[in-house]
Amino acid sequence: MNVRAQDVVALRVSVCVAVMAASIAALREGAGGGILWVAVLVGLPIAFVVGYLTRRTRPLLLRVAQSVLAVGIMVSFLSGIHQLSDLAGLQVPLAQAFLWLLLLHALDTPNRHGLLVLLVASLVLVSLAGVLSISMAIAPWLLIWGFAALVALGLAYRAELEELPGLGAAAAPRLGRATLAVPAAILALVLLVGFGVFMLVPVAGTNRALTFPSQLPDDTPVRSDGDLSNPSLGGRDPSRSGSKSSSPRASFGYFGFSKQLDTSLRGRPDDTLVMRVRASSPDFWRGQTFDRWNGRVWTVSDDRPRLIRGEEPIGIPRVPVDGPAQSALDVDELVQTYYLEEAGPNAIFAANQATKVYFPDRGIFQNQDGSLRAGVRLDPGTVYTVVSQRPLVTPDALRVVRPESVPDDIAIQYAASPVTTERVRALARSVTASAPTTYDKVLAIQEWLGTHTEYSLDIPRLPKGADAVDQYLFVDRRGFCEQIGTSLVVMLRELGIPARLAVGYTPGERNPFTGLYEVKASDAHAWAEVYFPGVGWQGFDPTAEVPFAGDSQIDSAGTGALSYLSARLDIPSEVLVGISIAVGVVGLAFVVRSLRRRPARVAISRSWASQRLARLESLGAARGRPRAPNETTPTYVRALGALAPAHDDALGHVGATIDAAMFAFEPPDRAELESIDGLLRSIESGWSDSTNPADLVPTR
Amino acid sequence: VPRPILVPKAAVILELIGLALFIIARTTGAGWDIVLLCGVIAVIITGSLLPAFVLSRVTVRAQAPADATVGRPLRIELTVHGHAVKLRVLTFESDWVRIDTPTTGPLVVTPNRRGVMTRMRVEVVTAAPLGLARWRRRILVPLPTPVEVAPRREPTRCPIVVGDTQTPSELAHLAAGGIELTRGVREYADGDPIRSVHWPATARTGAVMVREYEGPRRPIVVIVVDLRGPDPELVASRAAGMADDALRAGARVELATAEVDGPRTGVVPTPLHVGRRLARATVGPPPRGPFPAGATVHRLGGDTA
Repeated sequence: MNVRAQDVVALRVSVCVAVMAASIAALREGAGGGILWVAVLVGLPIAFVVGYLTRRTRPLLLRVAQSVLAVGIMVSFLSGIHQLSDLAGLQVPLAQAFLWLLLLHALDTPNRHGLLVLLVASLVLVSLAGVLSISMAIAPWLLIWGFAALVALGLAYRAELEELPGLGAAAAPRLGRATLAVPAAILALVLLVGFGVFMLVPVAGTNRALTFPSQLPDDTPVRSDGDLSNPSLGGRDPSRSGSKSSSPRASFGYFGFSKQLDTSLRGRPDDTLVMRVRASSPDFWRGQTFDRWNGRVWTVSDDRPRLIRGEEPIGIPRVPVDGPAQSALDVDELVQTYYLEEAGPNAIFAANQATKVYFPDRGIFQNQDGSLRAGVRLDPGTVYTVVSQRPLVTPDALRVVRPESVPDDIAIQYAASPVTTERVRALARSVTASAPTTYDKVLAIQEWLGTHTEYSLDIPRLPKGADAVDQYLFVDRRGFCEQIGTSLVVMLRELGIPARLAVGYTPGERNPFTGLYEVKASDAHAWAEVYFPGVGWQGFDPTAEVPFAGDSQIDSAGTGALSYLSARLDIPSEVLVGISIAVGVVGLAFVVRSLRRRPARVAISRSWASQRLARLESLGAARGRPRAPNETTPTYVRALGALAPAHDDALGHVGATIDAAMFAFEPPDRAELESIDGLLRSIESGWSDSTNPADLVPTR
Repeated sequence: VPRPILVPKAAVILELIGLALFIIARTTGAGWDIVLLCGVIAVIITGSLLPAFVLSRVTVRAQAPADATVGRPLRIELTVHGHAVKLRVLTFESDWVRIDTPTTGPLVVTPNRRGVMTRMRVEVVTAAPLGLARWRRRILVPLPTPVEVAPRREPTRCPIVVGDTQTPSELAHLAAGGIELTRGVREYADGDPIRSVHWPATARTGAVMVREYEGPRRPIVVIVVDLRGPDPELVASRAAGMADDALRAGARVELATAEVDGPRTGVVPTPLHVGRRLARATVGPPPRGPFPAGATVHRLGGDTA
C-alpha cells in the first residue's frame, strides 16, 4: 500500500520542530510572556499529536472550537493594535497573534498541504523574530529551523512520490541515517550558496524605514532638567557635582561624556558593548561638543540646554552655530536607531545633523551646539531613533568651499586664536603653507600628525602647567584621540578655521547578520569638527576610519561578514574561506553521491521472478549444471528435473510460475508467489548431492 | 537534456515570501531578514538546480515481448538507475511509477499505435530533493528486440468467392478444421492402412476397397492494404479483422502491403502473422499483382477506404 503524506510521522515531527524553533526564536525576542512559552513548549507538541490522531476523522467539535478561537484571537489582536501610533508597535502583537494561530492550525493538519502551510507560517514567524532581533542569539534557532524545514521539505516531496506505485519490489525509504544526512549535506550546500548570495544582495538599510522604534524601560528623571548625567562615571558623574560620592567609574565609563574633558586624565573604557546602532551607513555617533580650550581642559561655554517639547517625532531645530541651512550639496537622510545595552550618559547620540527624534518622553533638551540630551536616565533597554540630514560630502565638494563666508558668530566662537604655545602656532602655519583650501589644510595637519606622532594609550603624565598640545606635538609625540583631536582643533583655530572637539562613539563594528553597528565602550572617541560654509560641521579624525557621507556606501549585506566571523571564531579569513568551500564541496559531493547511487556500488533491486530464477541458477550451478545462455526457464527446469527426479514436479511448477511472473499479462497472486518460495526452499534443502556430475551436460 | 517543467506552489510561495522579506528588511533595517532572504534564495537555487543533476544521472534499459497489439496491455521489464524520480513510458500509454532506488521491475503499458518499435521514449520527472522545481528528461531507450505492435482488430467480414471445384460442404468442413476429404474408393493395395478400408464399398463390390484421399482445395484470399488514405489505422484494423475472418473460414490468406523496403505480398498462416505484417505496413503503394488465379482479392484503404 502506498504511504500518504499525512501518515508520515517523520514529516510531522520535522514540521513540529521547525514550528517550535520559529516560535522559540520569536519568544526569545520578546514576542510573548509565560503563557505563550507554555503554549509553545507544551501546547504545540500536543497540538501536533492531536492533529495526527484526528487527521482522518477531523471532529466537527474541534473545528468549531478552532474557528471560534481564531476569531477571538483576531478580535483581540485588532482591538489591541487600533491604539498603536506607529508600525513599530505592531510587531509584537502580530507575532503573538501569529503564534496562537499556529497553535490552532497545528490541531488540524489532515494532509500534506496543511503541514506545508504550517512550514510556510513558521517562516513568517521566523521573519518576525528576525525583525525583532538585534543580536546573534537568534542564530542557533535559525539553524535548527532551517535544518528542520529542509528535512520537512524533503520528506514532503518523498511522501508525494510515495503515493505513486513503485516499480519492482524496491522498498520505500525509511527514516534513518540517510534521511538526516542528506538534509545536513543540503543545509551545508544551502549555507554556502546563501553566503554567496549574502555577498550580493543589497544591505537592509534603514533609509526607507516605516517603523521608528522607541522605548524607555524606566523614566526616572535626571537630577535637574537638561542636566548632563553619566552614572557610568561613578563619583565623577557630572550630575552629582557637589556630592561627596566616591563610587568607582564603571569599566565602560568614558570621561568625555561630562561637562569638561581633561586631556590629562587616563583611563580607557573596556570592550563592554554599550549600544547597538541600526543605520544604513556609518558615521560618528556624536554625544556633545566642546568649544572652550584652556590649554589642558575642554569645557562648554554655554551649558544651558533648552527644552523641546512635542509628540513623536520631536522636530529638532537648527541652532545658530550650525550656520545657514542652505547647502549646495545633495542631502541624504540617515535614520539611526540606538539600542542601549548599558546605563551611560543621558546624551542622545546622533549623526550630525539631527532633524527628528523618536523618543518616548515628554521632551528632550538641546544644547547650544545642537547636541541633544534626555531628561531621564537612559538605562539598558532604552531605544530611540534619530533622523539626521547629512550633506553628501566628498573631498572635491569640500575643496570648493569658500572659507571667507564663515558667519561671524561662528568665527568668534570657534575660530578665535586658541590658548597654545608659539611653536604650535608656527607649526600650524608651516604645515599648511602650501595647502590652498580649508580641506587641504585639514589634510596637511592630519598628515603631519600621522607622520610625526604616534597613537598610543600609554603616554607620560602631563606635567603641571604644561600645554597639552605642545606636550603632545613636541615632547611626547605620543597620544590618543583626545590629544590628536585637540591638536587638530587648536592648529586649525590658529589658522582662523572654525573647529571644535566632539565626543561620542565611532561607528563600531558592523554586524553583517543583524545589520547593526555594535558599539563598544572602547569605541568612545574624541575628534575634530570643522565648519565649512554651506556644508556645516564635518568630522575629521586621523585615527578613525569614518567615511564622508558621500563616500559611505555599503553595497552588499555581506560586507565585512568574513572578517566579522573571522574575528569571532579566531580563524584567519583565508582559512575560513577555505573551510567554507571545503564544507560546501563535501556537502555537494555527499548530496550528489546520495542522489546518484551508482549502479556499480548499489545492487539493483530485482523483480521477484529474476530473484527466484537466480536462486534456481545458483542451485543448478552448484551441482554442475549451470544455465546455458540461450536456455529458457522451462527448458532449464526440465533439465534440472531430469537430474533430480524427486523434485521434477516441484521444479516444473516453480519454473512455470517464474515464467508467468516474468511474461504473463496477469502475474500470479501473492499467495501463489509465497507458496513458490516455500517450494523453492524445500527443493534447495532437499536436493541430494548424490547426482553424478558426469551426467550433467548443458543443453544447447 | 533535463528541462524545467513546473514551478510548484511551494516554490512560488517561497519566492513571494522572499520578496516580502526583502521589503520588510528594507523598511525596517532588519538584518536577520536579509539573512533569511539569502537562505530562501539559496534554497530556491539549490532546490531548483539539484533535480536537473538528479535527472542527468538516470539511465533506463528495457526489455519487451516481440509482439503486441494496440489497446491490449503489454508487460515490459524496466531497469532504472535513478533515485527519487517518477517515470512513465511515452511511446505507449502508461501510468507514472515511482523509482526510489536502482530497480528492475515490470511495467504494464498499453500500445496506442501500430508499428515496429525499435526503441521507446521514456519520461522521467523529479523535483528531488526538496520538491521545489520539477524537471523532466525524455530518454530514448533502445529495445533489444523490436516490438511489433499489431493494429486493433476491427471485426470485418471477409466474403470468399467459392470456386468451381469447391462445394459449400467442403468449405464448412474446412472451417470446422478438417484436413482431408475423401475423393473416392479404389481397390486395396499393399501398404494401405486398415483404417482406410471403406466397408460399404467392400460389401457392395466384394473386393476390399479403401478410401482415396485428396488434400482440400482451400480458397485463396488476397487482402490488399493501402494505407495512403485519410485513416490508415482504421484500414489496418479492418484488414486485420478481415484476415482473421478469412483464416477462421479456412482460407489461405495473403496480405499485400507496402513496407519500408517496398511492396510485399506474403502468406499469413495465423493471426499472429497477420499482426506482424500489419505492424510493419507503412504508407505507400501496395503490390498490384499478379495474384494467384482464383483468389478472392479484397482491396482496403486508398480511395476505397
